Parts: sequence; structure tokens; C-alpha cells
Amino acid sequence: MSAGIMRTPRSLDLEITSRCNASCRYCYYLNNPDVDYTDLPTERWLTLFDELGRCQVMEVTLQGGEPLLREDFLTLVDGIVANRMRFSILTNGSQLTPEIAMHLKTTGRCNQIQVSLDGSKAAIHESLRGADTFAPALAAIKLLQEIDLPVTVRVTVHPGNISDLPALARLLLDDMGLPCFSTNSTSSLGTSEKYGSEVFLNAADRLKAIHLLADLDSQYPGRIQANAGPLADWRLFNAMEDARQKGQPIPGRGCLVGCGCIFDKMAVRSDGVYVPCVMLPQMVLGEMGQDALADVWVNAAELKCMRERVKVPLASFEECRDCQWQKSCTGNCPGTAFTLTGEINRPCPDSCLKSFVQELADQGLSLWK
Amino acid sequence: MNDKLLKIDLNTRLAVNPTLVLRVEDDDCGLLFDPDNGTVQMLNDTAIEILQRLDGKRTLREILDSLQQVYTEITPEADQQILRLVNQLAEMGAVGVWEEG
Ligand code: SF4
Ligand code: SF4
Ligand code: SF4
Repeated sequence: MSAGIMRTPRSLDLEITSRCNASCRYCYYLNNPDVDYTDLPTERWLTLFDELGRCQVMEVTLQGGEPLLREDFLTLVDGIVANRMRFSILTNGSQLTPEIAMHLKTTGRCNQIQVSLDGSKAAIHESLRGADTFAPALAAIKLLQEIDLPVTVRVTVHPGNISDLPALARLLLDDMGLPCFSTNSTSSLGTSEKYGSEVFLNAADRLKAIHLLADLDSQYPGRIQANAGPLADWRLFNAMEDARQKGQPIPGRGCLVGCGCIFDKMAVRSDGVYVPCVMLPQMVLGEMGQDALADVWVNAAELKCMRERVKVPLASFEECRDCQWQKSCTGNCPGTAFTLTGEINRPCPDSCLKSFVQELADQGLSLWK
Repeated sequence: MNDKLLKIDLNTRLAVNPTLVLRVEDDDCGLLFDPDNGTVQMLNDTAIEILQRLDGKRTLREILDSLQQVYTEITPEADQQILRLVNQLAEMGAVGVWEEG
């Protein structure tokens, strides 16, 4: 066994279907040329769940596509439960019925159900997600609240919904009484590439979103979450600037440490291919049924290489050498770095504070309020 | 079924609660995961070594003997240490005597 690497992952993201009834313009999942968008029969997934049970995996996240489009969805959930795992679901909400929700509740194993909602009104939500998607998403959130299942909402921030963020926060947190919601923004993967400025935040949009979300964050302390996107960037950038001003670099940074998941998590595509993360669908590690999960996890060359990234100093990159935030930078997401640069173990240009500050300065703007 | 008032001595044949997941992460650490409530109890290497051997068939005495064959540095106080550990785990419902099936 490799030193310091767990024998098996703690959790997996499972793209159980490639089908979706929506056609969101920023979808990272659909339209990746390297992906085979096929679905596997029930038995193949149930066999995988038995293997995950033997590997002592604790949690899976069911996603797609739209996972609830699978006719055998509840059979798959029962297979997960039988193998002593918990589960989460990422959904657009359109296929959720009271019967499905009740079945999920009776398992007692549901960590959370995340419904996507991008606006406080149909016109805003549907501008990038397509017609007739707003009401079903809202109904799904309400249904999950009514039967007391842990529901969260994911808001993808794009140029068309920035100004609506305060109204959306009011709807979700004040009117609907959700404990919190999370935000991200469009990733450079899949369908989004076709739609350019309609879906991606330019520097000025990003700044506007950052400042709006920072204000909302103060207004609703602890209730707006972010692992990626403008609010996550703001928190990261603030900490980096704070460390720079104090002359005290953030411990554990200064190398490519931006992705912790490669040490406890991996993903499976709808066609059964193992990948490091859903944001790296082109990086094939093996195939379920053919390759043992534990073996892929410990021995796949690509994963071994990615795990080495934590030892790669940012100072070794030309663009970082003279950067004043270098010792507090993490290099961020390898998935996006790979999509944008074709290299996995290098900093992600999308989340580079130095280039963002420069881009803003070129337009006479400043990140710091 | 687990008897909460179980009196544990070195002749007891204990097993890990079958509803829990004993997850061995690497040679030095592991955890007990309860999928019904999501709680996680971190375990050190000694606890893992013992829990992995609690199969409901071997007595604690037999388990100690098997550990002694692997770890030459096991001290005479090991009897008491193992009893303390399994009693704590039994109180948490993590180990006990479980009926077949
Ligand atoms: S983002 Fe989700 S709901 Fe939208 S098209 Fe992609 S998979 Fe479907
Ligand atoms: S140049 Fe960008 S990626 Fe490199 S250390 Fe600075 S902020 Fe980080
Ligand atoms: S590759 Fe990026 S998106 Fe995937 S787990 Fe790592 S940081 Fe997160």
C-alpha cells in the first residue's frame, strides 16, 4: 500500500445517468467530447454498490444528468442502503414526487438533496436553464421541506442573475426559511463552452458578484456557502491578502494543495468509467466491473501523479515566481487547470488572484473595497 | 441481540455491531461509521487491531494470544487494557454479542 493513502475512498460521486430533461447552457456535464454518454443497467450499479460496501465506502452522491430520470432510481437507493452507506442527491427537482421523497426519508440515510435554483423569478431561473424549470424546482424544495428531508439549494451565478442575488437570498432564507444555500459559477467544461459571455462571468461581473455576495454574507452570517465561484474566491482572496499584509503566510500553502478530494474521494461516470472527479471526466482511471476499485484508488497512475501535486511549490511556475500572494496560494482546482491548460499539476488560471487583480486594474477597478 | 448489561471477561466472544462499518483507512488509523446517523468514531491502531479480530467466534483471550504472536512488545497489563477498551466500546453499542442472522 502507498504510504499515507487511504486503502479506499471515503466517498464517491456517481453519475448514474447521462440523461437529462433540461438543457442548461452552463451544464458542465453534457457535451464533453471525451465522454461516452451511455447508461448502465441496474445490475451493474448494484454490483458496484456491493463492492463499495466491501470497500467500507461511507457515502455516495447520486447525480447525472438528472438522477431521478432513472426508472430504477429507488432500487439503486435501496442497494446503497443495503451496503451500509449514506447518500446525497443532486437534482433539478423536476422528477421528485411525494412517493419518492417519502421513500428517501424512510431510509434514514439521506445526507442531503441539493436542488438547483438560479433566480427568484421564473424568467431569471429559466434564462439559462430552459422553459418550465422554475416551478418544479421550487415545488421540489417545498416538498422536501414539508417532509423534513435535508434540502439545500445550489445557485449558479452567471451574468444574468447577479442583480437578482439579494432577492433570491430573501426568497430562500427569509420567505422559505432554508437554513442556508450554496453558490458557484459556470465551469469551463461541457456545454458552457458553446455559450461564452452568456454564461461566464467577465472580470467586472465577477467583481460585482463578489461584492454583492460578500454583503449578503454579512447580512446572513454562516448561511451562504461556497466551495467554488465568486463567494469562495472572495473568502480565499481575502485570506491571502490578509496574510500578505501581516507578512504571515497561511500555513500549509505555497504548493498545489488546492484539491483535498484526491485523498478521500473519486467519481464514476454513467458509462462505468472511474475518474478522479466529475470535473475531470476525460481522465480515465479504470472501469467498474473490470478494475477493482481499491486497486484503481491506490495504483492509478493519474491519481498518483495528482497526489504528488501537493509537493509542487508555486514558486516553480513562471507566472507565480514574483507573486506577492504566492506563499498563501493553493493553486486551486486541478480539474479546471487541466481543462484550461491541458496540464494537471499546475495552478488554475481561473482562480489566480494576481491575474484577476491585474485584469481589474486594467479596467480601473479594484477588488478590495 | 446486544445485551447492554453484558458482563465482559476474557472468555467473552464479542463482535462488532453488524449495523456499523469498521473502516480501516491505513495501517495506523480507522473509524467506526454508523450509517444510520452518520456519526464517526476515530480509532487508533490498537483499537483497529482488536476490532478487526472481534468475529463473534474467538474469545478475548484467544485474540490477545493472536496479538501476542504478532506484537512481541505486548505487556502483562494488556489483559486489563483490552477489557477497558471493549467495555467502552460495548457501552457505546459498538461491540457486543449478536445473534446469528
Ligand atoms: S446542469 Fe444539471 S439539470 Fe442542467 S442540463 Fe446539466 S445535468 Fe441537466
Ligand atoms: S500568480 Fe496566481 S496562481 Fe500563482 S501564486 Fe500568485 S495568485 Fe497563486
Ligand atoms: S478537481 Fe477541482 S472540483 Fe474536483 S475535487 Fe478537486 S478541486 Fe474540487
